[in-house]
Amino acid sequence: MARRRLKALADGADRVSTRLLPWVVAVMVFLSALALAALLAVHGSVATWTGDMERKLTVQVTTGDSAARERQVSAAAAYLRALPGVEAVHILADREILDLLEPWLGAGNVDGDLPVPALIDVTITQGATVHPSAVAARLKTVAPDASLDDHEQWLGRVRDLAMMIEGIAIAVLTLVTLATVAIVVFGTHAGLAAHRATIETLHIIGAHDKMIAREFQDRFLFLGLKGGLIGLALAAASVFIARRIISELGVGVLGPMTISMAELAALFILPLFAALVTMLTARFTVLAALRRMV
Amino acid sequence: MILFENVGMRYGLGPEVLHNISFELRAGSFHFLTGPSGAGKSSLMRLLYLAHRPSRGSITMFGKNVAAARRDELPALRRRIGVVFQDFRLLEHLTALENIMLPLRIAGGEEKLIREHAEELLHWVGLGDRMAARPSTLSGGEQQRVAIARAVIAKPDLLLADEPTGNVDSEMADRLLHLLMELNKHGTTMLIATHDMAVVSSLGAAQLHLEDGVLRLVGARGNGHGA
Ligand SMILES: Nc1ncnc2c1ncn2[C@@H]1O[C@H](COP(=O)(O)OP(=O)(O)OP(=O)(O)O)[C@@H](O)[C@H]1O
Ligand SMILES: [Mg+2]
Repeated sequence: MARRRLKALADGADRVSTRLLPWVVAVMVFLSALALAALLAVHGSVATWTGDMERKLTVQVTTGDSAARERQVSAAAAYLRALPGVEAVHILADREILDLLEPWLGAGNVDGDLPVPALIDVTITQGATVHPSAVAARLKTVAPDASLDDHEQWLGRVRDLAMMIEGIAIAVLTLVTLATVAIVVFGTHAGLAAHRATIETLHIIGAHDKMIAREFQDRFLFLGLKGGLIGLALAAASVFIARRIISELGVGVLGPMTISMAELAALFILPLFAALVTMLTARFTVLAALRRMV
Repeated sequence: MILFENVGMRYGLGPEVLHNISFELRAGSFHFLTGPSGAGKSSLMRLLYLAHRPSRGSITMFGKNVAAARRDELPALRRRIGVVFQDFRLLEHLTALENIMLPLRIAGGEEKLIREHAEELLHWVGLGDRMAARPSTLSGGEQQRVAIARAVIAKPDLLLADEPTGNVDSEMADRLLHLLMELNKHGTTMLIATHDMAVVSSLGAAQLHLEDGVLRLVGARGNGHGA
């Protein structure tokens, strides 16, 4: 019975209070989309880095005596190969080590005379656990100048950073939602004031509060959706440009930054979410205001 | 059908504008509500069309104490009441026809039937050629007739008309009053506020007379059908 729209509220009467609403929602969705995109990118990169790193151990043998170094490296490698849970042990050739250094020192600045440590790259079998401290202790007995890096310190810092960025993104999303609610409440009250006489007439003719609320919520749903789509379009353009710039800069640290379909869907949910928040806020604001009328 | 007992009314925290109003209107009766400007006719109407709660006393309508009715009970009661407002209160962005259709669209019903019924009513009030006109493009008298058509379309049990002939010439006033009396003959209880005493005496119906918020006279001709 209350399903039908009456179209009894003139669009013009509250234009002043609702004209800017789509743009405000657009800005909100834009900010949310950027926050979410940053969140997803960080999430993806961190997962890629840490996923690789968690299965890696690096053994470094540092001694000026190259004969001793050779000996210790083979002893350490032999010990590590025998260790249960170790999938692969790879002794890095000097060339590989120099290649690793080149981005930091500049091409051509690295020559064979540079004293570099020997590196052994250890890959742990998926699912296996190796206790780094025990391995480090045993390693010392076969290769006194060897040190073990399980990247835990670095991983911990990366995880902290990721958590901080997640926290900021979630805070942004929450604040943006609250700000949207506040603005819609404000706009709805202005709209109610503009339509006050019409609303009283509709009441006297026998309209239920819900019918009147529907008139408002449908309008606000439309305004919210419109704003949300504008915001998403702006955000998509920004993210696209940002990724182009990042990939042109060749900043490899950020990882592949691919966004999965599920993540893309999350971004598309934003304007729908914004429209829904806008609509429900309008509805509850109207119903609360009408309850104060006769 | 309607029973007022010691009803008082005030706007917000303002002074009482109606004092100790007590009267009864029987179902199917026809009354005029008279009194000088500012006496409280429109205020009494507001109580009757449930736009205002009394500050004291009790009002019984359709067997229900409406002064104490819950908010969600009001729409059903209001749908049994047709109102012609003193200032018409037509919705500006709707056409004359859509304004008349509004009560039935609110009550729910088949759009096509509602439209046919509204068109019929527009012809009945002599505005068959102004269906698509916006209220602002109609004369005062024409708007008044649209307002009357909107008030009667849902076949209310009670019709409240506040100065329904205030904006039309005496010939049109006569026609409209006869339309309302026609409706009354079909059982609608009628209360018409006016300060046009000529109309009242020409029809000779019963009156409620208000002065300074006090009911002075009830039913000069007794209750029942007018004229
Ligand atoms: N919305 C309002 N707020 C405060 N006071 C009001 C309001 N409406 C009417 N009044 C006061 O109530 C009293 C009765 O007014 P009301 O409109 O009921 O008179 P009326 O008999 O309908 O007059 P008229 O014949 O001019 O239409 C007046 O003193 C008026 O000032
Ligand atoms: Mg009046």
